[in-house]
Amino acid sequence: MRILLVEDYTPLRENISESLTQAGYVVDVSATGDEGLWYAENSDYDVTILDIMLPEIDGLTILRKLKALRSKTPVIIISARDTTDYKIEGLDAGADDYLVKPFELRELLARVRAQLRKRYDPVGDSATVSDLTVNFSSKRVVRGQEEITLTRREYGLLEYFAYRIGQVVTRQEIWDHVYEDMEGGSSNTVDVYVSYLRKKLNAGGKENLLHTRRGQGYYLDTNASPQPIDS
Amino acid sequence: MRALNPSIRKRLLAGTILAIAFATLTGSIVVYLAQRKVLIEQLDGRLQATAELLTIEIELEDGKPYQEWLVHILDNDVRRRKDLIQVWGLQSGETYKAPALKDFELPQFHGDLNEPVIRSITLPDGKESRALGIKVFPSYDEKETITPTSLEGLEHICVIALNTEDLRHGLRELRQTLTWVVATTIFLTALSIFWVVNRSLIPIQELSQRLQQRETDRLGNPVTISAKFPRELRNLVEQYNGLLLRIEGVRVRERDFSTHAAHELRTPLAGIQATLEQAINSSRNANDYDHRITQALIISKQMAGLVTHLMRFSRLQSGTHRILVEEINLHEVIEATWQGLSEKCQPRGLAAEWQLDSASFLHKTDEDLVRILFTNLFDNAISHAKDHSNIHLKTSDQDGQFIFTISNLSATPLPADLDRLFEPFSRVDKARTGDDNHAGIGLSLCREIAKNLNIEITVSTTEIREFQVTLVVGTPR
Repeated sequence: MRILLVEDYTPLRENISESLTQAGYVVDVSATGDEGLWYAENSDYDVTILDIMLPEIDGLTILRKLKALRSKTPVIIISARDTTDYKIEGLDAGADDYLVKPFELRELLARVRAQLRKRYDPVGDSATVSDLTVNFSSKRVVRGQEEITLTRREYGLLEYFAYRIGQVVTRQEIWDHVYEDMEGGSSNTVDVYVSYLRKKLNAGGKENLLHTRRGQGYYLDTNASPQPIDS
Repeated sequence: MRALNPSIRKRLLAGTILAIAFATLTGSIVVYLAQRKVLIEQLDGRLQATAELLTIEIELEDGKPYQEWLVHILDNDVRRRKDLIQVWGLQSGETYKAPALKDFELPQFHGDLNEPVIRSITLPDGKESRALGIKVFPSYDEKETITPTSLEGLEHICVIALNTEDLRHGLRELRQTLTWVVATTIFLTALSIFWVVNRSLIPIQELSQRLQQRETDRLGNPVTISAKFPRELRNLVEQYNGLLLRIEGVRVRERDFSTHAAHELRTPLAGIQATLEQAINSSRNANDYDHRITQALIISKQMAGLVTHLMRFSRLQSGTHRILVEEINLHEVIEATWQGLSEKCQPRGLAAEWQLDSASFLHKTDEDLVRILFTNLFDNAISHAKDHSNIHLKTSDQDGQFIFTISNLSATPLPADLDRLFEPFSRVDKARTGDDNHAGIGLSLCREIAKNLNIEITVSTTEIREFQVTLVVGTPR
C-alpha cells in the first residue's frame, strides 16, 4: 500500500514515515504543499496523510484541489488545530478523517487501516480466503493452523492482494502500491516476489490461492474465476 | 441597603403625573381663590350699598334722629325676616335692631367717621356672616337748621350683617367640582402617559430581546434596526454595534493567539512523542538511541525557547518585567549582536550591507532587552531574506534621535497586514517548518520591548519590495 505523507515539521515527518514503512507501507514524503500536491496529482495513493499549515500551499487548498479532480484517495488530516470548527472545516473540505497533534503513532496506523478497509471494501481487521487469514493490524498470516513467516515485501504484496480479494491486480498496480519509487528493478521483480509468496503460501502441498491471469496479472481467491479488472 | 434600580417607566410616569397634578392643583386653587374673592367682593358691595341706604335712612327730624330704615323693614315682610341690622345712638345710648335679629346682638365695630369697616363675624347662633360697621351722623335736609355744634353727640354706629351661608355653599360646590376636575385630569393623564411611555419603551424592549437572542459566537454581526426605529435610540445602537465590532476583533485576536500557541506547542510536542515512540518501538543500537534522544532534546529545547519567549512577552505586556537601566553604546550592541548571528548568513549566501551614518550613540536603557530586540530583528531578517540577497543595516541621527533600519528582500505582506505582524504568531508564511525555529512571536516581543523602553518601532515595505523595520530611539531635541 502506497501512502503520501505531507508534513512540514521534519521530526514528525521522519518518524511518521518510518513508522508507516515499518508497518509495511510504501511512503512518499513531502515537506511543502506544492510538492505534496504534485505527488498527489501524479500518483495513485491508497491513503494521503496531510498537514494543514504548510509552506507554499496549505493543506486545505490541496484537499480541495484533489476533490475537484475527483480523487478517491482517502485523506487523513493531521493538525494542531483542535477546535470543532477547524475539524468541521477540514472534513467539509473533503477529508475522510481528522487527527489532532500530538497523537500516538499506533492510532495513526489504525486510522490508516480503517481508510484502507473503506477504500477496498469493508473486510474488517482481517481478510480470509479459504483457510488463509491475513490480519492487517498484527500483520500475521495464518494458513490452517500454521503461521506463515513473510518478509516485509512479501507481506506488503499479500496485504495488497488481500485488500482486493477476487480482483485481478496488474503488475503496474503492484509496482505503484507496493514498491518504492527509486527501488529500481523491472516487472520481473514483481513476478519473482509473487512466486516467492506463492511458494510460502502453498507450502506442504496446500491448495493454490494466488492465481495468474495470463497477460493481465494476479488475483487471490479460492477459484480460478476472478472478477473483471475494472470491477 | 437597597440597591438602586431606577426605572425609566416609573420615573416618566411619576414625574409626569406629579407635574400634571401640581399644575392642575395650582390652577384649581387659583381659580377657587379668584372665585372666592369675587364672591366676597360682591357680598361686600351689597353690604356697602345697604350701608349707603341705611345712613340716608337715619335722619334728623326736628333736631332728633329718626330711624326710617327700621320703618321700611317693618313694612316689608321679606326684609323683616332677612335684614340683620343694628344701630346704636352714641348720645342717646339707644339701640335699634331689625326684627330678624330677635334677641341676638351684633358686635359693635366701626372705623373713622363715614369710613366703613368690613369683617367676617360669627353670629350668636353660630352662623358665619359678613358684617360692615360704620360711624355716621344722621342725614338731614335743607329744612333742618344745622350748626357746627348741633350734630355733636349724634353719631350713630351701624352694623349690617349678611349671612354667608349661600356663599359658603357655592364655594363648597366649587371646591368639589374642582376636586373632581383635578382627580379626573390626573387619572386620564396617568392613563395616557402610561400608554405613551409603554409605546415609547417598546423599541428598547425589542432591542433588549434582540441582544439577548444574539449568539455569543456571532457578536460581530451588527444589530439591524428598521426605518421606524426611534432616532433617539439609533445612535445608541450604532455605538453598541461599534463596541461589538471591537469586542469581536479582540476575541478573534485572542482566539488566534490560543490557536497559534496551541499549534506552535502541539506540533513540536507531536514531534517529541513520535520520536520517542519510534525509539522504543523496536530494539536499536546505542547510536540509534542516542540520535533519537538527541532529536527529542533538540525539539524540547526549541519548545523551551518558545515558552521563554512567551513568558518574557507576557511579563513585558503586563509590565512586570524588571528593567535595569545603564548607559550603552547602541552601535556596539548592534555590531556585537550581528556578529553572533552572522554565521547563519553564509550557508544561504546572504551579505550584510552596513551604512552607519550616526555618530556613536550613548543611551540609557536595558542592555539585555535591547540585545533581545536586535537579536530578534536580525534573526528574522536572516531567516526570511531571499537566498543570495543583501541585508541592509543603517543608522542615522535626526533631531537628536537615533534611527536604525534593517531591510531585506523577502515575501512582503500586504500593506493592510503590516500592523498585524506585531500580533503574536502572525507570520507572512503560515506554515511551521521544522528547520525554522520561528514561532511568529519575535516581532510581538520586539514591540513589547520597544514599548517598555520607549522606542518607536514600525514595519514597512520599500519601493523595491523590501521588508523594513525601523527603530527610533530617544526623544527629539
